[in-house]
Amino acid sequence: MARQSEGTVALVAMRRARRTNRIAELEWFEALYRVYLAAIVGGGIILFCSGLVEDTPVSPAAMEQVLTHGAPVMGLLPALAVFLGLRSGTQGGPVAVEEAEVRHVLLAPVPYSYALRQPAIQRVRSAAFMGGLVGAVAGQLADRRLPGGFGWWVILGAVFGACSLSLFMSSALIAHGLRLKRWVSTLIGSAVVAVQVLDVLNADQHLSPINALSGMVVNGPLNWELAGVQTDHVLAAVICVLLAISGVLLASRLSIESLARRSSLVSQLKFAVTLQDIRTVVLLRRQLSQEHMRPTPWFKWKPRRRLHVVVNRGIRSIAHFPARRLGRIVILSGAAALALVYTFDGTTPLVVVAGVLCFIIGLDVIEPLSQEVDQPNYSDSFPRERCLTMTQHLVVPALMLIPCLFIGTLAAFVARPELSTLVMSFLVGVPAALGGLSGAAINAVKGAPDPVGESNEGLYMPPEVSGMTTVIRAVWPVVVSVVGSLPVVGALSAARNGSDPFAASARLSLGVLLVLSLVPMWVRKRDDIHLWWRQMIEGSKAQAAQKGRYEL
Amino acid sequence: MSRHPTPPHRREHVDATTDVVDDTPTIDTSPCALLAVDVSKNYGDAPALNPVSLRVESGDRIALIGHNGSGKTTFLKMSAGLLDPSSGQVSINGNKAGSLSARADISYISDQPTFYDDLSVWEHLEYVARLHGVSEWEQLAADLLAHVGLYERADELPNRFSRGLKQKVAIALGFIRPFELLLVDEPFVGLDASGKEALLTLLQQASDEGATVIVATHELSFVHTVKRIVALRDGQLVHDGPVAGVNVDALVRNEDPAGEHDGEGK
Repeated sequence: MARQSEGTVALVAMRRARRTNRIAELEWFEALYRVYLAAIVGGGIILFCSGLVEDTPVSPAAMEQVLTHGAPVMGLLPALAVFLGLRSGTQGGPVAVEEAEVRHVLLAPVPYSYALRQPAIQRVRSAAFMGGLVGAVAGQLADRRLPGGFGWWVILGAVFGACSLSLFMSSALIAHGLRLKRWVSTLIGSAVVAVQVLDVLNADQHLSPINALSGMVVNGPLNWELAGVQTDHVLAAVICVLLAISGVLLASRLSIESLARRSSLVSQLKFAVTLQDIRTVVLLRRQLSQEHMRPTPWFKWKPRRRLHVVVNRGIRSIAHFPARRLGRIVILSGAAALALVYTFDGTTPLVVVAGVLCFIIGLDVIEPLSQEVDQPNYSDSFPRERCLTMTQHLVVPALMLIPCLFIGTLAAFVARPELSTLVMSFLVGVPAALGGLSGAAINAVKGAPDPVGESNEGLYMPPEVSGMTTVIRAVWPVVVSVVGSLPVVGALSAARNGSDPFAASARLSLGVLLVLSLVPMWVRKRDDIHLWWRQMIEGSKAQAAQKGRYEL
Repeated sequence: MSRHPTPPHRREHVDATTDVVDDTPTIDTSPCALLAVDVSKNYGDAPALNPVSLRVESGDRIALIGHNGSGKTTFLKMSAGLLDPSSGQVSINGNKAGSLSARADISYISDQPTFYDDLSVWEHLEYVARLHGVSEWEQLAADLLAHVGLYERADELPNRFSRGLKQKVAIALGFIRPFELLLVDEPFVGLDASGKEALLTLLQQASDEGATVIVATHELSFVHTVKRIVALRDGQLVHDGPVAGVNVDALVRNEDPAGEHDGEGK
């Protein structure tokens, strides 16, 4: 036991020393600059969101709706947090420690309760902080339209946000600590979400205990303003804290195998995020959630002679898609369709959500092309133009969007069971789906090595502009994807102006499809364009040098 | 995979599974340095190690051999407590692998050294030694570093070292702590001649001091110094016994280890 206590003392001392070193080595100017940038970006987002929310108070009828349905609807957030947390826990989350920490500390005779408690607390703490921040911002936005004091909205919004995200962490820690089977956690999480959905549908009787927590942020500010502290809300928050403590206490039971697997992946993931490398983020996310390609394909595909070899290869790739990815594509297709439906109903910002969802679907279906880009050694060794291969790789993902379109149409029809929904789904769905694919294609292809050996980015660009270019490069594919969803906004605008929404969306869809057709053309000619650009810049440099010599 | 043609070496040994050591009937389960009872590991659907039983007595010196993907690293990681077995159990001196007592008894040197970004070689040695309750560590650290040829670089960050130097640091870290069972995975990869020599000496010293040593390696210079080799093939135990009369090359190259049967042993 002497060795154990000495080890624990060494662990505490070394962690303290490392923290001191990190603070000592901190570049304060750079840190302040980052805070400044974060404040500007955060402030911009808050201002943007504030612009979307009207300042006029809601009508009494709308207020009645909020008080009746608000708590179950808002309760979906913590319910989903519990569901996702349980799933994360069974997949080895949420704690990730350094690789070296696994090898040196977790293999040393130091109790895991000492070694893992701090990382677990850090995870819960940062999640609660982030949730609190978002909740406070959302609270001040809600205050602009709903009754209740400003202070109460901000405070209770922050508490609700902190509790929701800490629920994610505590669910994950508990599921991991108790080593729940994946199906068990999925079952429990689904039950939690299902009860919450039932509460949303049934206004008369609410079953879910989560409503006590979500009630805090819906009718809490009004009640707290009028009647003081509400015991049920406080109790809900206390239960969240107790769950977080339980999760932290169970940290000593975390699986070292999961920690070892996650340690390297999480550090790579953080690095990929800093580089805005979406493809790497996607790949690492898949590895973290152990989403592997099926060794046995869903169907055996015999290459057809009539079909091109690249198309045959694409079909084989799809045949190896894991069930989880196919399920995700189905759910996202439905969700994107619903976002488009509610955009048409008047909630315009949802068009961005639809675009992002289509982009994520695109990232999933474009796997054959992404694999080709990931393996440049293969594609460069083929006796054919690489860009031609990449363009041909767009065929199979585009075909795979057809079932997605049907699923989306079905979801839209369920939300609005009218014949016109089917027509509108087709008019709006085709460009939206192809927009997602185009965005994903741009994202995949821009990761391909430059044909002339060096990246053209940054040429003649000062560092300040280069940074902005990197951000634009990361955001650009998502923007293209959102552009694909824009016809629905045209339809909405036409409906508001009293003109034919179908004709408007058809015209806009055609225009958007024409714009999107530039993407495969760009993929086909990308290498040529880069080569031409490079030669032009080098020519300009040579001319400038020549001119300089004459002037001298 | 059955739709693919059978490769030539498989065609010749279609019945190769018959030479798998049948270890299930009896194994003494009383506490020993390392005891694996019907231990298996699957990665998703892919089996990495089929049920394997192994008993290692205190002071044994064993070479664990097998081709790439045969399950050596998986077995060592399960013994170290880094992987949970899918079935069966591994115990170290009677304690479950990965438990506090088992971790106190084991030193595991991985084939992929990992270090903290912000600690020097010397600081790593101090940290690991103190984590294991070693208070008088400085002289041992200096000796180890001198032995592997890193004494002059003790204040450098090991994460910036080359593959071979990292391996040397990992070896020093493996020996700075007290242990009764030493598990080493492919330690000779990337080492230069002096490094190999230093490691062989350290392994010999550990054995002389009574430690149990299990080394996964293809290095024949080490294999020929042990009295017992354990061979894995496709996740199955195919040999457990003396090195004499065994075709080590065949075991390593995923071929039929028939050396012990057909007299081709080296």
